[in-house]
Amino acid sequence: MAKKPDLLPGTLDLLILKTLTRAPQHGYGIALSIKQSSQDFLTVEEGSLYPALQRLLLQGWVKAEWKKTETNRRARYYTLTPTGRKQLGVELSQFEQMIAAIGRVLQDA
Amino acid sequence: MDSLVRFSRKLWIFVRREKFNSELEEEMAFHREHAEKQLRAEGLPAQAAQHAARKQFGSAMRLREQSHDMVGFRFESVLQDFRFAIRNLRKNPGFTATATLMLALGMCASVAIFAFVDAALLKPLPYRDPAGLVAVFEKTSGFPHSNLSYPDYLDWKKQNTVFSSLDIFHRTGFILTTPSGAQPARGARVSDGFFRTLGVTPVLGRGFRSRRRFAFRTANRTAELRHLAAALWWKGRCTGADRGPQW
Repeated sequence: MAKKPDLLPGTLDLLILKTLTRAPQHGYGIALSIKQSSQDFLTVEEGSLYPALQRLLLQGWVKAEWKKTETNRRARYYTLTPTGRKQLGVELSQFEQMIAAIGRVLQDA
Repeated sequence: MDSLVRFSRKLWIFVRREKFNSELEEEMAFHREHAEKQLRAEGLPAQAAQHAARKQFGSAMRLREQSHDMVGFRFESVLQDFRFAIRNLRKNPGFTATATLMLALGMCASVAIFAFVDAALLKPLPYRDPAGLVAVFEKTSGFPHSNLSYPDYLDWKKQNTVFSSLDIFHRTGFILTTPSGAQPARGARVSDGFFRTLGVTPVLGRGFRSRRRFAFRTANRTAELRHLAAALWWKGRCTGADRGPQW
């Protein structure tokens, strides 16, 4: 298996929040969605996904509830909260600034 | 405000940590199952798919710990570390004994030094107004703390305007006649107001009457003095300070 590049630090929260804007998802759904949206380029390590979800819960940016899946199994679904949506905006603009700044540095070189 | 909310959420998780852990486990099992299904759908044999899913997921234990780090309290990990330390200490009795001994010695040394410093420097002297007590000396060239002659003392006392009282003492030794023979006794000759100036009262008997100098000369005084000296001396004996009268 080819070694996938690591996520940029600090971007996992952003990706999770963004994924949740589409629909409430369970942990596996979030991982899958990120993988598919990035055309298999980004794999979220489960070892970082669940701690990140706990962190987001703790911040109050997402909330979790147990629901039935289509296959009638119990799964914990994560939903974006209004503060989470606000936070997504903040993180997005920070991320864009960061990318723009890196881009400028690389262009000069 | 935010931190307060976070804290209460943490507290809530802590209170229901059994439920929290089982929920996390269920969630991860769900994840593993789906990952496995996905891999099987991609054409991996069942056994291999299971293995790959497990591998991808990483150690469940480690994952739980990471999640716990995120939501747990600092004191929980402190408690864990503490238990770990105890276990390790029990495993290495030699190290434990040495470390304990070192700590004990260190503490004893500090306590001893502090006790000395406390008694010598920090604790006030056992007199009525220790901060107000000063010693004054005669000064001659080459001998800054020299003895004072009695006439000079009388002059100082007469001309004194800064001290509320001025008294003198002279350290000396006596021979004490006791039933078991003559014994040396350390003592001091003092002026009549000495005890009043210090603000102490004798253990037995009474102090000197005021305004009567040369008290040593009168027979009456001598008897009284002997009484006083004996009282002080016996006190010293009884408290184990076997050094004759002390003051």
